[in-house]
Amino acid sequence: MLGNRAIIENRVQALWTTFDNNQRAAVSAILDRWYSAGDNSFVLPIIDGPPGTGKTTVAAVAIARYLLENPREQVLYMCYTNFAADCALKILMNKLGFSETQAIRIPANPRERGPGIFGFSDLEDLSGLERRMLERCPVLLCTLHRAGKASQLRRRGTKVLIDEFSQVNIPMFFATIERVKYLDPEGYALLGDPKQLPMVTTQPVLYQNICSFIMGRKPEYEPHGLILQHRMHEDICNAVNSLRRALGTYDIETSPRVQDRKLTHQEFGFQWNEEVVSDPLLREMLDPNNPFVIVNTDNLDAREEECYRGSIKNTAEARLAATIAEAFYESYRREDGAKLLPTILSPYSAQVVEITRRLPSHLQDRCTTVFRAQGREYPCVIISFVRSNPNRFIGFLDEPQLRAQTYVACSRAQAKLVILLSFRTFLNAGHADFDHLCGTRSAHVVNIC
Amino acid sequence: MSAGSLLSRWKRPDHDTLTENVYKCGTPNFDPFPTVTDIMNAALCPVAAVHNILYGRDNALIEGTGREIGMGRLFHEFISHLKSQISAGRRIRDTAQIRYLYENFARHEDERKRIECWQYYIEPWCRRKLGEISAIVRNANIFFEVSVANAYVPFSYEQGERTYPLMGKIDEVDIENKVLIERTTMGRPNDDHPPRLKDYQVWLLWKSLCSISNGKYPEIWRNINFDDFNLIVETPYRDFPVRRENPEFEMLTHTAYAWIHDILFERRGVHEAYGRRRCTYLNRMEDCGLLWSCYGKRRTRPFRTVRDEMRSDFRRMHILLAYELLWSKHLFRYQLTMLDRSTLEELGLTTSGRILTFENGNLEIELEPEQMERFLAQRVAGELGGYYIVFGSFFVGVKLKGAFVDQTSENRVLINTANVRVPLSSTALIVQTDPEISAYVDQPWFLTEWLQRDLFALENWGLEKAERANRNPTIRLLETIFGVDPLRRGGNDVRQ
Repeated sequence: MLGNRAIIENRVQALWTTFDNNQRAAVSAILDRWYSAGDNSFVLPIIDGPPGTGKTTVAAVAIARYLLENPREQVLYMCYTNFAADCALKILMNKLGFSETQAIRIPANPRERGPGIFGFSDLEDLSGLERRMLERCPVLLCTLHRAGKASQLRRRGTKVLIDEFSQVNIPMFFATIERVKYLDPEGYALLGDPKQLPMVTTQPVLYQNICSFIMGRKPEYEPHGLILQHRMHEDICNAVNSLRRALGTYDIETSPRVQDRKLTHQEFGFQWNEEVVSDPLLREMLDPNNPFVIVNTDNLDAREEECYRGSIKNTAEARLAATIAEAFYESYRREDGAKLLPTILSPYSAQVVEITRRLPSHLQDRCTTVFRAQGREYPCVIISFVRSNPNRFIGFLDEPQLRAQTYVACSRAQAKLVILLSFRTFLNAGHADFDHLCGTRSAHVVNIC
Repeated sequence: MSAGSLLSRWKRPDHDTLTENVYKCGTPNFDPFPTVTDIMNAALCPVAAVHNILYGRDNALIEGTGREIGMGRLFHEFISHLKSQISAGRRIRDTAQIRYLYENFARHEDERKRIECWQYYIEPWCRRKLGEISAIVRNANIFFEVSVANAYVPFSYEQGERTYPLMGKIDEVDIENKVLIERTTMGRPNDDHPPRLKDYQVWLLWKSLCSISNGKYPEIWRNINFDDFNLIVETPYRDFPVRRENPEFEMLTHTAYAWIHDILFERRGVHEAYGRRRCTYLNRMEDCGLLWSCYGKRRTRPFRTVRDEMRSDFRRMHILLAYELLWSKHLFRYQLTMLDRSTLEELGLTTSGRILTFENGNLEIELEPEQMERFLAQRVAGELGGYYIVFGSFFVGVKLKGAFVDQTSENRVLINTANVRVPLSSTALIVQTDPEISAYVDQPWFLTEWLQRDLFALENWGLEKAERANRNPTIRLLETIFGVDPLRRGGNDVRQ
């Protein structure tokens, strides 16, 4: 099935040498079949992978190794969002050398077609050739909701991988099991970070992800933990660890490769021209030597306003976020002339609209919600937390199920993280996440005068 | 009070809930906003209502022959297309001409479906109706697929009346001839009564249409009195008139609403619904789409052994998913029918605009600047899938599904409705009479219903032989998670 076997083998080997023991153990677990233990037990590997620890790469390597070892077998890779499926597809194609017919994503939109992407609405609409291509494709990727369609294209004995399980709640998991049951899978594996954002629901019980549910029923089960992250500068990782501690989970470590990952490092290749920035406070925020900056917006004339369906905006903070973003764009430049495109995140969609309308056109697509940013990474992230009120009320940012917004937002940044928040509203008001975050030693605090 | 006994009142959301000042969480503080199909299911059998509400399956009323599935849509769409063509001035003399029109209309359909639909449904219908349709005058006032919704539809009860929310879609409203038509592919040539509950369906739709106050009708309908319209169930082979005064239907409706309420909110509601099912093993409704669920093979498939443990967890999930739908889909229906237009717009639930152009299925719509901001916010929040464009009002109107194409200028957007086959002629729709339209985002609520359906299917699935069950990964997985068998994480040997 794998025509370019040698290429894939070499690339798997190259990646394997960069893996630590935890990653290798995770790959090895995914390769196991459900009856591997040889007794009455069931082998279900769950990989707990915090941000940047390479969950998807681990999954991709496991898929490649599985197919190299069992050339006639197939894999069905599913996740909650199309974006996550796309990330896995890119890794399979770009890093591991899978061709467009060896890894195919089935999108929700039947008209969407592209390299490795093949949309269709009904199997009956496919030509014999198209159907054969999909049936023979070693790896199919799709969202969990498309599992039913995808499973019609697989043979019995397919390996089933589910990524991003923080967004897979109990009904979603078991409905997926129902959709793939006639495949008689050779094995299942779950990958994700249980502390990241769940899918949004009105029923608190449905926030529980499948990993927590299984662990609740099987307290003796211990998932595979990935602890070495390859995304964030150490200072940013410290901030993320503060949040992880507040969420009651273990610390992650920073890979030496990214320990000192600044915007000005060779990897990103930006040069900072501080002359462009006249405001000393802004300069402090932009300085590449301060990878993690917290801006206290108390002295801005910042007031939150309720708008679109209870969403919140804060005009002054939006203006500041847009100013900082523009300053990043103007002052960071590569040798080839390319400018830095910072990403602006906010938990509130109304604030995203407010910031977007203040940004110049070339930056308007750089602002998005935290929910949408889950699963992505950016060199430079600015976060606007919006809330500013005398009651020190921070809404869903303090709710047990949705407080992970802060954790997810901060862990998107690779080299630079700038957080805008009102200390009066967020700090020493019983909001543990923010107390922990601002207590991070590596934080560089800027007070707006 | 036992489940299924009549309710003293139907609880609607209060103003704070409607305006989303109440945090949507937990058990909803209001009853659902059912569709006509939901009521028909509950009227057919309480078990059908359980399946509909909790298990996402509304197929009790669909006969099991399989032939009708998918063809009903083609049958409906073609007849509305044909009638609007005639209304637009096309002259039809014989069935050959209709066949030609049909072949052209259905050219993208699967061949078998196209041929069978003509043979079993459209051809018999055309033979019977040729004279009638030839007499349709130019610019006739015929409307198809008209949505009706009202939060307060009255049904008489003893000396007074009780009101319930109800929504549905009328296949055809013929203003000239004062007729409401419910068209169906069900029924057989020799039937002397309408297909099961179809008469009830058209009656419910008529009640809903009549309950709407005059001011909420589209302007061109404001002087029409629907009280004396005739109700017809139309099969390919016969027309069945339906009585408007119908105490039996009134009573059926109260019972159906009571079951819907009790299944959702009463502790023993589901249990009692099963106890009061309408048929028995020896005296079965053979045309019920849920026959298999009630009397099927699952009882003889005992493996897996953890069925009870699973069921207790899954039952909870079924009810939570139903509540999730109440907070989203049903609350939204209440909002559309109980809030005024400006509040709906302030909440960002709907957007209103003006049609500038309507060519090749593309609608260019101009929005007010603040409406545009909300429109963009919805896109940012990831709510953008498609839109429903409402011509008329949310109470009575035609809804077209469209997809966002582009923002053509600061306040203008382009919505494509090209794949909609509802006739868009200038005469046979409300479309052209009023350039002011409303739109709302189409939410994928069906995904939650899929979850309900698949969860139920897994809950009831099993194998007959223990030996096979032991080798089956799905059963082993369930046995391990819900039972006592150990779960292992694998990967103890790190491969090189």
